[in-house]
Amino acid sequence: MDEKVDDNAIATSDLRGFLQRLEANGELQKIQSTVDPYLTVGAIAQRLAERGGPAAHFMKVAGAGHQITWVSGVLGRGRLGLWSKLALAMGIDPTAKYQDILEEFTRRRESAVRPMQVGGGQCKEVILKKGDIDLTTLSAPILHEGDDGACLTSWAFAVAASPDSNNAVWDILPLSIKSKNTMVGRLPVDSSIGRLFRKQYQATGKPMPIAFVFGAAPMVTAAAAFRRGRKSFTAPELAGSLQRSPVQLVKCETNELLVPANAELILEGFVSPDSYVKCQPFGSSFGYRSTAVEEDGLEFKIEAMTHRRQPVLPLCAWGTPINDLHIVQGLDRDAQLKARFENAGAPVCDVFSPPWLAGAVVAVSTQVPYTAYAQTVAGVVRMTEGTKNTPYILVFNDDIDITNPVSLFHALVTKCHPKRDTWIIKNAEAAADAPYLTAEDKRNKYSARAIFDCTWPLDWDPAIAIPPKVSFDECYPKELQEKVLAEWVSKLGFPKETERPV
Amino acid sequence: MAFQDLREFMQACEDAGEMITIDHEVDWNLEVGAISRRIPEIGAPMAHFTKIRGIDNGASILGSPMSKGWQSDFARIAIGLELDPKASYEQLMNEFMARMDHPIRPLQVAGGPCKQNILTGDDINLFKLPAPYLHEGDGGRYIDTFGVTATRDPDSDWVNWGVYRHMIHKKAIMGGIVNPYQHIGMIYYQRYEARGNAMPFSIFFGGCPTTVMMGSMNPPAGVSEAEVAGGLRRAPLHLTKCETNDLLVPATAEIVIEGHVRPYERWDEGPFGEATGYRASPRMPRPVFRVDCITHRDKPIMPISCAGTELDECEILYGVFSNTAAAKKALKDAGLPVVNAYSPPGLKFSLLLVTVEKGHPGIADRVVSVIRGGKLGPRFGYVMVVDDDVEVTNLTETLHAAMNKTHPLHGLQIFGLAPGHPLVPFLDLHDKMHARGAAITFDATTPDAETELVRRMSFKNSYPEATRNDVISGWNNVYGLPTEAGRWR
Repeated sequence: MDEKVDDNAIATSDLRGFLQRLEANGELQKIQSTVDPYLTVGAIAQRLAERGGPAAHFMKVAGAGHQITWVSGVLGRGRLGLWSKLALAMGIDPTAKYQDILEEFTRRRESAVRPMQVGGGQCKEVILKKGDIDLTTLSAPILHEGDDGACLTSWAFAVAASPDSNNAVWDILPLSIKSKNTMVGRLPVDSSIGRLFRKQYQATGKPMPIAFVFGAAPMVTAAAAFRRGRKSFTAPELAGSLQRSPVQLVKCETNELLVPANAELILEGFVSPDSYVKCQPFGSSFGYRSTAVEEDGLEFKIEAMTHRRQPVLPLCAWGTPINDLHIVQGLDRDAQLKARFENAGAPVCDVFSPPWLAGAVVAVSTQVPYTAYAQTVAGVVRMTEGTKNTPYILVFNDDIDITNPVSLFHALVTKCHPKRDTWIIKNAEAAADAPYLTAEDKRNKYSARAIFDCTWPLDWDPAIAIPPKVSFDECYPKELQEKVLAEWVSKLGFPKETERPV
Repeated sequence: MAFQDLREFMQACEDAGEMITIDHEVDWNLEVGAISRRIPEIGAPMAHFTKIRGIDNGASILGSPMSKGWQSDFARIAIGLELDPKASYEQLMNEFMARMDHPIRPLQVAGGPCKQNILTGDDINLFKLPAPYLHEGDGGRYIDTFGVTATRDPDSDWVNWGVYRHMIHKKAIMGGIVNPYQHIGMIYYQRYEARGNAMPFSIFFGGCPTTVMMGSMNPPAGVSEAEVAGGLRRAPLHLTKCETNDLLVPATAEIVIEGHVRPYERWDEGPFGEATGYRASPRMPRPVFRVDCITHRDKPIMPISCAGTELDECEILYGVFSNTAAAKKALKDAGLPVVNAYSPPGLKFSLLLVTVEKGHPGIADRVVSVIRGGKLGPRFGYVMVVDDDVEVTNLTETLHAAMNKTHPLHGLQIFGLAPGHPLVPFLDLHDKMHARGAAITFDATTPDAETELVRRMSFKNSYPEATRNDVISGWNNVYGLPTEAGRWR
């Protein structure tokens, strides 16, 4: 395992190396025909997210200057499996089971690899300042019908720091181009940069320096999508641990912020507390957008742009599952929860936030040490940073494969008694852009959550009251199962099996 | 051309790669069950077991004739309806519902291949037929898991056909489950037992596959399945009179078991590994089916359905097709702005998904009222109502809408007590025995007029038609993108 990782550590330490790796594994398709950034690029990216497929490298986007190309879905649902591209980014077998990917991810997440500061880097090959900057020549896609403008940063991350320290905060903020040198978009109150801005800059009326990083190594951008507790490692430290090598950071040209040296493109600028503007909502990680309502956004002014030659800019479709955000955030939530359960010595078997449910559900399979253990599990979930907004918590016995949508929902509808086994929690936290919120919820800034206990009650006599599952692997003696499997093709004459579609 | 009998159907399936013949001897004790259980779990062809241990009269078993694999793979049902095995679920469903609307009355004939062998008196021995012991823990050998039980309403012309289950008690006596809310229950408890009379029955196996399809499904009380089966095959069934009662059975049936059920007689029956995926209903005193006569073809073929997790015949025919069709019809008849309904395979007909037009506040409750107000109520404990911007037959897409748009407080409607039935696993013993169920609705529709509509950011909903058409038509030959979806792993 170690040798394999070392091999790939070099391949995945920048975006281009990763794209080559993807291509070698059938997970990247270069699209040579000219595509229209107005909706077509977004439509292709969205369809790939829904069906699963290779990353799409758009080699010719109409109107693109600087020899820019765009690539979508570098970490989204792949050809070989849902997590195949993420596994490749981590240096793991792309056909690995989710549980194995999660275990490795959780392990790496528990340690930090400190970043290194360097004097220069590929991101400085070309440096442009003020008057030479024209964001419209980047040919950013207008991702969806009804979007206010072209979204530049759908898979880029913002970097900011508090005025008196160098502790950087990273976040993915999808912003749209407003003019040659301004972008506009929401800075959510519950994001790390949003908190930082409001507490340390807005409070004192100072503008906040900010940088945007495009095309960092895949796990570096992924680290920016994580939700971190206040006491955990910084994003650059986590990124280094996940990619198994320290992130090399270089100082910006026009401010003190540090950015990955091998990124494809950097924008440097600032955001002022008095620059609130109305903007159309963009969309959310859930895959829904509240229509026709203007929101408060901020204006981001760009003062410098540096980039590699022929920069490759990643994009994410920001629509219904399964895109890069669902993959990365799902894995991160599960890792946080898994670590928490393990530290508490809980008899939890598996944790899974189905990416096809875009974070609305956390499923936990577990042994059940006492009645209503589901509430204990739900309590842990509600306390954990990455999952504190999840509306639905489902708890299962440990013999259920919760990564399979049919067995997950089968266990829900056959084992969860709608009254005995459900708890509704009022006045609970909710994500501000959750699709189910009522107008009142938005005014009050809270909503509700539900817990579904899909485990067999402990006061049922196992001999007569707990229905045994009727399946090949549970209803027949082991020797008979082995005999049938051994004879399946050779003696009984069945065709060799094929993978089943969902 | 309609299939004359099971054997023609089997031939068509073999030609399409949907059946294999196993000449290697297999044991009726668990081995046939294990193989037949695995078939739907992995989507394998059905199996004709020609040699069963201890059976020397040429009888054989056909395992898992209609259940196969996942979401849209209903090849065997399609073949049974003489359609292209690759027909989509929507095509099958539409064809199905159209034919069901045009029943054709059966014709009565004399004799038939099912009369080639007639056994009465001491010659009756159920153990001579290949009756499998299907799952470890079953209460007996279930001779009938895919036969059709015919019973007549004494007060009218109505003859009910249903697929139930029967296990062997003794060589000429069986036991079976008779639920009061099923048609056989209505007939037996109210029209025979209440009057102190024995109820004649005939169970037939085989014949044209439309007979067992109809037996698994749910036309309303008073509608004879034989006529609807005629509609399904687009030709009248040929039925022949039984030897010991007046019931009619397909002349080309493989096996017919005739008998009577005495009033108030109960012997312990069950448990049985059921279609819900669990061996849920407890062993309980249940009606007794006494055999008066067995008739069968030479070398009779016994079709069996090994119920269990994932898919089985009951789930597909009863759940995915019949209950879905019944739900759609009920909702349509109620005049609701319902777009589609679906009981997904693998969810054991316990979940109904419904898509509705947007912008009708309170629509979910009206949908649920129709369901709860009808026969389907006890079946669908879970109902999820979502806006029509998803394809209801796409399970993950519809569940995404349901779990993201259902408000955990206002959107969940819980019925702590509701009509139930003994097969529901989440009920405790007492509730199972007394059919005390429970139900829940997930309302994922737009909650009220005040809350703005949310837009689904999907390929279908967030791009103009022209863009979508260009992208789809250029997908492979312009963009070089793969035609098949990514592996689900």
